[in-house]
Amino acid sequence: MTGTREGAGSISWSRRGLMARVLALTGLCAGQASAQDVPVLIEMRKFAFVPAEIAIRAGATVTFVNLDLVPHTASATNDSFDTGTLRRNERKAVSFPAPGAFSYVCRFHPHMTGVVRVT
Amino acid sequence: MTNRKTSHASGFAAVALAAIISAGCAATSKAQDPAALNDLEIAHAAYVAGDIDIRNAHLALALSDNPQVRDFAQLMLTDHQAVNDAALALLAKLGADPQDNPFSQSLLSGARKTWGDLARLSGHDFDKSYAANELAYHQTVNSVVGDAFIPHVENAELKDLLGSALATFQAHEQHAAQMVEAIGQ
Repeated sequence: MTGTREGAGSISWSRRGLMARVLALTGLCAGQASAQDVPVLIEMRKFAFVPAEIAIRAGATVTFVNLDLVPHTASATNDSFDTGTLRRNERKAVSFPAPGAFSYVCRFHPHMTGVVRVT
Repeated sequence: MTNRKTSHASGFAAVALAAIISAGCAATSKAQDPAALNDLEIAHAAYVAGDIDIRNAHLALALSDNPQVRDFAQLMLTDHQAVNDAALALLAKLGADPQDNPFSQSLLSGARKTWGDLARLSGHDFDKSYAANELAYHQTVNSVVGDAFIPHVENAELKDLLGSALATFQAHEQHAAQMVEAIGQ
C-alpha cells in the first residue's frame, strides 16, 4: 500500500519534473525565458540585427547568423566579444557568462547596432 | 576656390547620373531602357554596376589619405565583391551567361569619364568629388535596380538576389551621404 502510494507519488513527481523540463525548454516556466535552455538566435538581415535587443540569463549563448550577401560582424563596443567576420550564412555562438548590457555594432556597417541585456 | 570644388563634385556626380539616366530615358533606343532588358542583360548590368564601384574604390585607395574615404572605399571593395560573387554563383548554378548590352556599355562609358576626371584631382578636391560621386551613383543605381530591374526580372532567384543587393546598395547610399556631410565643403 505504501509502496503503491510511493509509486503513485513517484509517478506524480516524475510528471511534474517532466513538465518543468518541458516548460523550461520552451521558455514558458513562470513566464521567464530560460536562455540557458532555449537557443537564442540573432540574424544579420537586410543590414540590421534581428532582433536588435534581447534579454537573456547569465550563462546563455547567443548565436549570430549572417543572412546578407555581404560580410558582417557583431562587435561589442566595450570589446567584450567579437564574432569576427561572418560571411553569408556563416554563424558564430557567443556566451554571456556575466550580467550587464552589451552594446554591439557591425564593424563594417556601424549603423547596424544591437544590445544584449544579461540578467 | 570653394565654388570650383563644388563644381567638381557636382560635375562628376552629374556625369555618373547622366550616364545611367540617359540610358533609361525615353529618347534613347529601347535597347538602352533598363526596364526593357532581359534577365541575362539585367544580370550583366548589375554586375557591371558593382564592378564600376569596385574600380571607384581602387581609385580612392590609390589617391586618398582621408580615413573616412579609405574606410568607405574598402567597404565598397568588400561588399560589391561579395554581391558580384553571389551573382556569379547564381549564374553558374543556372548554367547561364550574362549578356552584354547597350545599357551596360553606357554605364561603363560614363564611368570611364568619371575615372578620368577623378584621377586629375588630389587631396580634399578628390575626397569631396569621390564622396559626391558615390552618393549620386548609389542613388541612381538604387533607382534603376528598384524601379526597373526588380519589377521586370522574371527568374525568382535573380529577383531575390537583386532584392538583397538593393538592401546593400541602400546601406551604401546612407553611408555615402554621411561621408559627404563629414567631408563637407
